[in-house]
Amino acid sequence: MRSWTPFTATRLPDCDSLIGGGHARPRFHLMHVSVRVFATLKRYLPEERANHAFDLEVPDGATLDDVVRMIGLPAAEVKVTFVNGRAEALSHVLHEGDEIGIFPPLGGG
Amino acid sequence: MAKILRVDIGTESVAFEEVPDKYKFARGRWLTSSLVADEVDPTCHPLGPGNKLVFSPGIVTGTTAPTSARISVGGKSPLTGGIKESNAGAKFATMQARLGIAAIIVQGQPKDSKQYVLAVDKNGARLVAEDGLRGLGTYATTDALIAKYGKVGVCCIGPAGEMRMAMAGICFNDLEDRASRFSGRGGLGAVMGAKGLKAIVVNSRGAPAVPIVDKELFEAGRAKLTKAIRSHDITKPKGGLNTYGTAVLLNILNEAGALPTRNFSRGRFEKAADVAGEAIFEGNKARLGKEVYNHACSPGCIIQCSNTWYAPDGSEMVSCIEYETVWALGPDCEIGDLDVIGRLTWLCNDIGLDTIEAGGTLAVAMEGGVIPFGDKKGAVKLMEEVGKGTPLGHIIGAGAAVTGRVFGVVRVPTVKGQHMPAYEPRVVKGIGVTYATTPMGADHTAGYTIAPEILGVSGKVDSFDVNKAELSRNFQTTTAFIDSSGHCLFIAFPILDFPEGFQGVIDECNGLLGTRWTAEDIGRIGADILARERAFNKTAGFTNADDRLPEFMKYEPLPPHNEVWNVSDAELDAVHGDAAS
Repeated sequence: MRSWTPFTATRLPDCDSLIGGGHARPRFHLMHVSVRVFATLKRYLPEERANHAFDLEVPDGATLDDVVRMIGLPAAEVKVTFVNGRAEALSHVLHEGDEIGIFPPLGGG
Repeated sequence: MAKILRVDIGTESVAFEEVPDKYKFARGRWLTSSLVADEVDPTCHPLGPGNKLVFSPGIVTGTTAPTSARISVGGKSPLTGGIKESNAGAKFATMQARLGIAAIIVQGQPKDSKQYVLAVDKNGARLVAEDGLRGLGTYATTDALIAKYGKVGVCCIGPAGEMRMAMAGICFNDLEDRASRFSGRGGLGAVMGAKGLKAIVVNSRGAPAVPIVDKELFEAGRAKLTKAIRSHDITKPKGGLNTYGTAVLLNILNEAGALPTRNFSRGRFEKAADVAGEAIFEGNKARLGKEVYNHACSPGCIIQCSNTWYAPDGSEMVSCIEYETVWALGPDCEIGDLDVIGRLTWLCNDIGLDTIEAGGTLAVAMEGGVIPFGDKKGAVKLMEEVGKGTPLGHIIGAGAAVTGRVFGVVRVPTVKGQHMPAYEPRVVKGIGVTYATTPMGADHTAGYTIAPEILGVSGKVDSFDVNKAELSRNFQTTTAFIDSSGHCLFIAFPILDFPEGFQGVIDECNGLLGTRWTAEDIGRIGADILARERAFNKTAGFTNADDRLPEFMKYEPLPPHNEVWNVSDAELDAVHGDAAS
């Protein structure tokens, strides 16, 4: 699995407590999202992440596309992505607490 | 020259007829719906002498066209009161096609309570009075018929069909001779039971190949479609369907908040992942110590999506547990245990039941307080009561609409008396439009808008958008043709994404029939089939008021999205664009 930025490994102080409310957040502010990966995409994840939802720290302003790259999924195999149960494009900007589901091409019925 | 085999139960006669010119190219759903519309009085009682049961393989069935062994069964449905076509993948289809029998029409009514087996081979057909199979489940029936008739395609009913239950399906043997492939929907098993016909066996040994007018064109079409199927991520070898089966859909529908749970009162089930296709794959791997990929249900299938669930001791529990089956017997009943779902599936197969109607009706019975939601033992016991034909079993066997009425349940998710499949229409509006407006009653296969609305196949469409008349109409029209071609509907995934695959299907048909159809003709044929079906329903008494979803969906918001059904009646009526029904 590829490593990404130091942000994934280190928890930074809460920026809001440093600068007070009402100001634009610095770029290094982190937020937490929950990620779950399904079906054939699970093979790209380590065991502890493959079968459960896992928490991920991402920089403020991160998109779904950023998450796909951060966790090491081949973008070509990602077909459908959900945020809080709604299908969203990879350019979708994430928010604190978002629940993300990532799927390869699937069919059935 | 293709023939029609007409079987009159009342006179115990069988006769072969020429295929009338007007049906020259019609096969599969096109032919079953045409024959039912032309020969059956729409106002007749579905279980009376006026109804007919029609079996027709598709246009290219019996050839080397990939994934094309579908058999359509048609008649007037005792569940909906309207026209019905329900198709299955089975070697029976291949064998009937190889015998050159475009349709088997079963009509009339037995004079007494006699039971029959129809045996068909290259020398002709015989209607044999046979009392020894009475009351047998589909597994024992299939075994007995294979022991007696050899390597045959079997079509039979279980006790539910014999008892004329409205959720009874018609069962076919798979490649391993398991009684497991169903024309499940709409209660056609009860029609077969009312005819006193326990089974049909077909044997195509010694039959000539299916005639092909232009072999070169046919082969070119076959190659295009084969390439499309083999290269699409969903249908390719070791792709989604081959690895995880149709139950791979559990997680994505759950994620979308569109997995009907606890009798359509929520859109998510906390144990969805425990019963999903991935869990079946991993569970089998743990129990057998090796990876098991899925198998073909019928000859010549290159998608191979049929799964098997193995018991803890490694023995086979049941095949096949489809997405709809897992959902109906699982999340809809709040049951999150694959071994219980497997047992219930085995019972449905053996009794001869449509698993969607059976599971959905259990959930309605749970809502009515017959047993609690999630009651595994109670669910198995209720299903066994259906098989035994106890009074309560008969109520359940009559389907969700009747069961809901008996137990005073308001939340009954049916359209035209048929239970909805495994997609929440409040969240996925297009599939709701299909449920409401297909002549079949709530049926996902009739216009599978899930492809663009959830799966991102043939583009992406917002599932919450309420303007879905055109989308559903296009899917319903194309589907009516695919159901006539003999191909499994799952070829839709590659042919929607790869235009050359779609052209391959047209080339196959043109090559076989000597026609010069274009994509426009395909649309025209599909629309014509739908128009015939709707005309039948209109005379049977249906109006636009029947093209609606149940009222509770308009006022009960569905968690987690808290959506209600908000597609306008005008949008629904725009699907077919005609004044009444």
